[in-house]
Amino acid sequence: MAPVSHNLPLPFAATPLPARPPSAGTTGGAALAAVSGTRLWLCLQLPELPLEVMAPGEAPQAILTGTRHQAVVLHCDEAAARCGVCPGMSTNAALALVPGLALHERAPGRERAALEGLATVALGFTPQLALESDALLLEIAASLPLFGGVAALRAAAVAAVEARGHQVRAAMAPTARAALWLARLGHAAPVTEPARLAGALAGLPVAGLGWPAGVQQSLRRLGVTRLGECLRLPRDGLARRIGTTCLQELDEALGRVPEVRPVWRDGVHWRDELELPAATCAADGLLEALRVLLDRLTIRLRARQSGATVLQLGLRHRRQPATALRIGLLQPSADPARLADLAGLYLSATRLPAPVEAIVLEAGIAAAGTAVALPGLGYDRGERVAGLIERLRLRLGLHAVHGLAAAPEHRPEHAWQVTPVPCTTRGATNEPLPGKPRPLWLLAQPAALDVRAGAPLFEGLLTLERGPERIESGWWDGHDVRRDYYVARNRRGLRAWVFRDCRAGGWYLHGLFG
Amino acid sequence: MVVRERIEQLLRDPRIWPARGTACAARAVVVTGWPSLDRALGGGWPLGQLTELLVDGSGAGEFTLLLPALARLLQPSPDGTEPGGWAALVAPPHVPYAPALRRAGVDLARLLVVQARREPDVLWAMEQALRPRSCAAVVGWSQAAGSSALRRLQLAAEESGAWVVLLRPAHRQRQRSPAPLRIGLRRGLQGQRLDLHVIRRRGGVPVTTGVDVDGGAA
Repeated sequence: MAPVSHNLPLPFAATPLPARPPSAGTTGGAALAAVSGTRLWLCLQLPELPLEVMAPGEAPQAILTGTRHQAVVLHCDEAAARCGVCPGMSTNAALALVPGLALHERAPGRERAALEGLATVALGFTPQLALESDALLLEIAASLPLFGGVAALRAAAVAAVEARGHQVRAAMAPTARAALWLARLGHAAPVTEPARLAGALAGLPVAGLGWPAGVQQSLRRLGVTRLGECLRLPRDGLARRIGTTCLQELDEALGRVPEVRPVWRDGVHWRDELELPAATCAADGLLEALRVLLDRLTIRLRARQSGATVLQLGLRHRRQPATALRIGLLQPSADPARLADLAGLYLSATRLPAPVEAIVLEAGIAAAGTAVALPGLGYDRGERVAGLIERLRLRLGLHAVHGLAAAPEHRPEHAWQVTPVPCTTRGATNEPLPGKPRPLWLLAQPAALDVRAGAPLFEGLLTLERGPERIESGWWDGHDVRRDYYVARNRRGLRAWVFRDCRAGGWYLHGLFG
Repeated sequence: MVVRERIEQLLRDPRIWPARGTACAARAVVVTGWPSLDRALGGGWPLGQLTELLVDGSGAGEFTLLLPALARLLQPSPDGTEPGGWAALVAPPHVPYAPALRRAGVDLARLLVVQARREPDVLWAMEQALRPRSCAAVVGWSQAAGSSALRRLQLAAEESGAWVVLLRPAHRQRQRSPAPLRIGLRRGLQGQRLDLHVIRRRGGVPVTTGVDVDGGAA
């Protein structure tokens, strides 16, 4: 019965596992199975992207690449291709073939923006996606049950991209690079099993993989045109001919080594505005209108499973510059009640110069996948403290709320630090504790003490109980000190931390054992 | 036996408050860390009510007195299910010195220091720190808090269930206060220990006790 259980689908097979590098103890084959067995990549490649991002113009047109004097055609539309223009052709040759050819410089910025726009759409299919210069790579193994299988998910993803006016070629493979290669070369048949990957890749032409010209040439001289032939070459010789970078890509495509790709995260801007039915100064009316805007925002946020990190309010007046309010949030939030609370606090603290006619709400949205406080789940304590800090700062000022940290320093005034809250970097908590007594209260500045008969005075004569503790440090930054510290007690029983300045003389009070 | 039954019957009468014992133990407290004070308060510092400490100046040992309970409230629960709470120090008179706090076992990463210059801001900030159960411990230093502000603070404390301590100058003892626990602090005659005069506490008579704060702090 034992072999049967191996064929059962594992319950965790559908969960998105991060690609694990092969650990030292496992063999290469086992690591490969662990990596590729749980992953399936869908590549959506946009062959016409350079042309699609251009303003729609008259055909025929072509995109150029290279320097001004040696520009070559990178891509051309169908009309130009019919006349014989092809990628790699020089500008003059293309113009000779098609005298009316419209030539454009490539616009990488616009291409990237278009891709990111598509990536937000693709987030509807999976949170794990990566961007290439001309393609989206979606890790979809975990999403398959939700969308009804490979074919249905692929059809939905292709339809979503085509609805935004792009031509798309899709391919699927257990590794991202294989999916990318298959898509670029137009091999649409999905490869879902790692066992079939090598066979599917074997037929790909080496020329279409985007490898450097020198590598392609040296392979051509060997008579190698297909990837399958390339794989049959001895590995050390192949490494010498195509270099380690190309070999690494080959290994990644075959799933022999795990591939590292940064997961794409979107940080997005959101803007909405609302005209008020009548100009008003009343905080209630403004807050009502703001609630409408916040509701729209939070619906959007929830759909994206994300939260707002910053709100920017613009209050428009007639014949007056708009009043701008900026509300920063310590923790992304998608809770309309909390956002409205905060905005209400800000509004009540703002004096408006004139009645408000319209409200513009802009929001910075946290990248998908960050921890967000969703409404209805209640405040957890960290969230509540974040809200507290926001409220305190609003009334008392930005610097009125801070944390404390101990610092590894001998000079008492440098042995503590103000830290921002909530604390992102924890201070050196592993520091050894000082063995000598330290007061609970430190004076911001040491206070000079009067001296009577050689003994310092602080609300009465001080008797020295412990000490001296010599602290001599700081010669490197110009604030060097040389002091003898004592624990002293006055007649009333107050315990003080005093020092005698060994250089200039004189007694100072530096702390109180409160 | 009959006498004891009669006594127990009498004690069940809601009009009768036992001075010490069962009635105090039922409330939520945090152990003060000073055994003599624990005995005087019937278990520890009460949670969910305002505790008022009346002391002149700083340096008598008033902060040391609070540290064991502060450190305890910031620690996660022993079984690890509950994370530690947060604490706010509102308007401290001097810089709370981080190395000394660490030595007392206070988790600095869960400590907020709130600087409030104006007197009304102090109680406002304390109230905010209590409001939607943000902090487990709130300690504030106030010079001239008004009675209505104190009442609001007491209400916020009851709602939050947190440990709330307000330190005020000793001459404020004459002012009416809604705080259910008021303690006057003074150094003993020889200055060796801190004398605590429990002026008022819920379900108990005024008592006086002493704590050797220097022994703990050194």
